[in-house]
Amino acid sequence: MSYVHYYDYQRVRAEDNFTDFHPLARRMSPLQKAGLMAWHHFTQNRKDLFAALISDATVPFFYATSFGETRAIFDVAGSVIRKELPVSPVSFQHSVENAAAGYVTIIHKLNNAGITLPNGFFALDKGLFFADKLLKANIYASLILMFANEFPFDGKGTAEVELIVLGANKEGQNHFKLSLIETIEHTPPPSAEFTRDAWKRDAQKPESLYFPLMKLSSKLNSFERCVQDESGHGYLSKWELT
Amino acid sequence: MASSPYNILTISGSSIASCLGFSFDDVARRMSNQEVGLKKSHRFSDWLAAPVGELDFSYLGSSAPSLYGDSAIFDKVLAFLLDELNKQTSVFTRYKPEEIGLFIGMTTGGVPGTFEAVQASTPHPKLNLEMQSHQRLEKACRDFAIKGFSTTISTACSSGALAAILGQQAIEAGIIKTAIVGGMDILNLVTICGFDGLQLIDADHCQPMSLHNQGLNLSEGGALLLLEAKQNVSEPICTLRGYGMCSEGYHFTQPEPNGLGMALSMNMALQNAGLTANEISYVSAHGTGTFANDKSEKAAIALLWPEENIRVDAPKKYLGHSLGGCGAIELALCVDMLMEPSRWSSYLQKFSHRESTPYLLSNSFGFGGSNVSLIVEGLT
Repeated sequence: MSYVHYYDYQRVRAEDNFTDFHPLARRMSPLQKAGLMAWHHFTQNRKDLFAALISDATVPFFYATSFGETRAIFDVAGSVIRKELPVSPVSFQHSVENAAAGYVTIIHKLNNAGITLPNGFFALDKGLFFADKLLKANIYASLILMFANEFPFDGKGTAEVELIVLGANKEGQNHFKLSLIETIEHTPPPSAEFTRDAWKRDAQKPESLYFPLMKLSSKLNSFERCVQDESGHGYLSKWELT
Repeated sequence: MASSPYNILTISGSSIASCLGFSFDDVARRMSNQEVGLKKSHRFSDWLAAPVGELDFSYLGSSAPSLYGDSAIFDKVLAFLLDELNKQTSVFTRYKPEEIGLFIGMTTGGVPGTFEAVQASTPHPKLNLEMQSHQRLEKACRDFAIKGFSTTISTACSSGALAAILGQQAIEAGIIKTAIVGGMDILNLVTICGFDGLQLIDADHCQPMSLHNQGLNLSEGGALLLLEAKQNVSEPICTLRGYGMCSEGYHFTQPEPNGLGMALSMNMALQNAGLTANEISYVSAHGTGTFANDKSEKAAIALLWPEENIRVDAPKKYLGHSLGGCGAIELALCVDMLMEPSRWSSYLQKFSHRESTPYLLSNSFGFGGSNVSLIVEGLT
């Protein structure tokens, strides 16, 4: 069991201008801007928790993403196919999967490692599973998980980000707990299933990419989330209000 | 952070695929002979005049992959590494599928799918599943019946080294009993043209950590290592003694020029290992050959070893920069130096001014300021 010490959800568009927050934002991808916004809110809303978490540089944070920097990698691949060379150095830098995590560390001058875990449709659930087990084993007392995805469908792009701080112990401002997360290897009808067909069906945005914890919690005292692949392998998590 | 579990885990095997060969025997012999695996004639010659370190795909029964990348060939190289590791360790028969985890660092696994997406629909490409580098890991897990916790790691050039830390932590946390850790990458035109656009490539053979460094040479390949409990191995002879991982928090492509971020990573590893700098006998530098990296890394090494009494070499001089693979390859070379010292004796002779200790340190530093330092210990 882990406790949610902090949670935030943000959605940004490519054209959103966040230079008020940081001058580097002007050149950022939607995904990087989403990360910038989520961390800005975190540092403003929970200064105490942020300070405590970054005080020990040996504690990393996880950045989970399903596709990474989609717009930038499309730009680079498109330039290569059209032989428009040299490739833009900025586009290439921004196409690196850990770019959003890198910017977080640069802007906030963090020495904490930002570990990018690009685990496809299991990105969030694998990140949560690993974080929960590391907390249970007392390897860390708390961990930050940033889950972010970029959707370039309109040619400009949007990005969504969720920032979750999990802790091994309850603290004063907890609202939720992750009461269980486990792997599953069977094929019951899951509450939210993704398959290759489901991916195509829903505007290329399967249910596993949605995790608006706040929205769900306003209606429910508890809920389960289940994601599986075609073989039945997947993750089941149970969330409760505290 | 919990104390290093060096007292309970061992590195019991490793495999390699590199431009200098597909066995440690070949790589050690050729590095000892000062052979360089980087050639000016390669499949990207129409795009890049500089040397590149290619895998000999015919060794694996394949033709060279498309310049846009080829997921099937990526899978084939990864399968080769897993097969070779299994031949040494019998990991797939000694452990149940759910006890085995796979931790792979990579940066190019999704590139073939990206090219397919761009070619299929322009000007606004649509996402496809093969853009997920994770698909490469999932396929390997299916083909080798690996059912324990597994993850893809992408922290640019430190990915393969970071995989070792996460694998070790996963065992420590009790999620799995053994971890196959490492990294690999296969070159493609995104990587070739991207680094060319950054103007980081040496037009000739790279000279990392020397006075003549002009840039890096790109290469491909990777390595895997097996981590498991000492009690499961008859003669444990090597262990991941300590690790450090940190962010520089400085600049996206430029390391902190005084080496402070790199020194932090090495200091963390020493602290985690319970060692002092003077107990390390060899540093396998990240040593890309770029002016900025080498200047910072030299400064960092000078901070830890101010008397310059440390053996330092940069394997990328022989093997090039294999991105997500290099951290794993260079860790595996350190392990092999400890496990099979006889085949490395002539290579290590050039460092004879320094008395040997059983502790070797390997650095890996990536885009975004993602730093990893690993210390391995020989137990015999």
